[in-house]
Amino acid sequence: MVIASGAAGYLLLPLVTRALVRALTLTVNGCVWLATAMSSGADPWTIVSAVGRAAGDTMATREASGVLLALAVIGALAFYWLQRLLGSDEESSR
Amino acid sequence: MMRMGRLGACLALVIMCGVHSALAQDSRDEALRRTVERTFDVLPLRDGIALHPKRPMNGIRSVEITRGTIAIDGQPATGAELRQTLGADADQVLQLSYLGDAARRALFAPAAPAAPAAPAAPDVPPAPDPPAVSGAPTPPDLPTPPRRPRRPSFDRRHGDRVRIGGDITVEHDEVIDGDVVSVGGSVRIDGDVQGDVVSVGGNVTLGPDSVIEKNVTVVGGRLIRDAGAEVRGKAQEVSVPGLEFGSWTWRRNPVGSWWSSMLGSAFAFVGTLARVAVLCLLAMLVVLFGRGYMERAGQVVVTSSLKAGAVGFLAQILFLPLLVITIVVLVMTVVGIPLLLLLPFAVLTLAVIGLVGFTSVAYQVGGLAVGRFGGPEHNPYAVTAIGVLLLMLPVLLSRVASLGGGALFPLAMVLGIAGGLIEYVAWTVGFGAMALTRVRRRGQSGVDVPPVPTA
Repeated sequence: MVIASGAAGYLLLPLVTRALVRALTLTVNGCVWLATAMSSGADPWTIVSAVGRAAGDTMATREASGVLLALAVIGALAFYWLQRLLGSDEESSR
Repeated sequence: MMRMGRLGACLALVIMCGVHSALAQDSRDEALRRTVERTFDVLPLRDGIALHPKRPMNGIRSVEITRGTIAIDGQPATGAELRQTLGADADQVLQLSYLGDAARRALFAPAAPAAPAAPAAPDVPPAPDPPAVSGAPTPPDLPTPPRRPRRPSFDRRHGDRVRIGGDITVEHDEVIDGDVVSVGGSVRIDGDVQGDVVSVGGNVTLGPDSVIEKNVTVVGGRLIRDAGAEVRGKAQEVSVPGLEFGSWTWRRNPVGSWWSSMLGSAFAFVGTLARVAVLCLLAMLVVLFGRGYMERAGQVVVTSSLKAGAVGFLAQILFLPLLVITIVVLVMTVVGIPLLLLLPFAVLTLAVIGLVGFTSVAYQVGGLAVGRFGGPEHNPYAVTAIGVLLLMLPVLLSRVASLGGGALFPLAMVLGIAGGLIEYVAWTVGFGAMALTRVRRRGQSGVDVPPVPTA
């Protein structure tokens, strides 16, 4: 158990760090973009639609779709087991 | 004997890998040489090579690569100008320029005594070469130099370099495969960075030989850039009015390091004390306003702690995908973007539920301790505070041990890991207990519902 946890940590830590760096970079770049857009006098809905379009384009890439799919699978599995655990508990409490 | 055999096998594997890598590099260089010789006549010069097109190429007579600089007919040219002039053939020239001077000369040296080289010589007019190489009339303002050759792969560092509260330096002979990120510290780059360079609250200094493949972003600091530094993406400097952290410096000397380490440990200890105090205060607020919830969750912690832990762990796993997918869906629908403002409130609600769960665990732990060793067992506030202190005790002891310096580091680390695990388990079990309490109440209320009367 300890070895498995250590191995999982060793494998996941670089991924988590990378994700953190990406998120940080994206946030900083997003803030810079937003400040530039607002200072250039763009109206809020133009900015919002540009954000939506950019997000759509990003999600259309293979990498982003893969990450999203993986997250959806993990979430679905966690939800399934959670529902089973809570469901059985609810049944037994009746 | 077996160990020796394994050692020998490993050694053989390493040697084979090395030989294979060297052979692969040789074959790549050989392929490059053949490609170049199909397009150009190559003339070795004293400090570089000259390439003469075998077919008409936008009227150019020669391309010289000397000391990492590319010149077209004696005039230095950038990568973009080279591509404009030579088109697809520019790639060969750029690849050649990435090689070191010695490697470039060695690549074409064996070809010199070969028989086919002799007839090629008359085709090359020898006279124009010296002036072309010496480049006597240098233009007043030189364009930016072409891409520098990549640094050798043995200096390559895989992954990102991230540091919080400290400086980062990328040396001359270093190539970072990922990003360089510093929060609360400065960054100095003298080597190659394949990804982004981000600094929040510190300066970024780019040395004359630095190459950044992507963007450089500096928030709350200054970008100090040498004229020779190459940024292939965008350089962004976001100044925060009233906040300028860039002048902070960390000097490396043993006394300074020891002092900063002690100072860091002292800050960490004070920070942990403050966290414990805040947790005690919040837990008492929970006892004051939500004692019923807390006691019911406490019962679940006692009766089915394993199940509560499993539920809490699964809820944590579910949290990230749910959050990400919700954000993506809201953003992509465009109309849902304003609803993103509600997300922090949802996260806050979960945090409050987690706090009530943690308090219920602390209440049970405190109750156990008071029952065993005696104490104010009729005062729920004191019992909860004792529970919080007991749960946080390993982390506090770890901070105290780290004040002792390097000798106590192993003890501090073990206590820190144990304390972190205990705290994590308490939060997880507490959250799961809250979920189970809710479900059980729903189940019990389901029993109380009278049957629907039938006609």
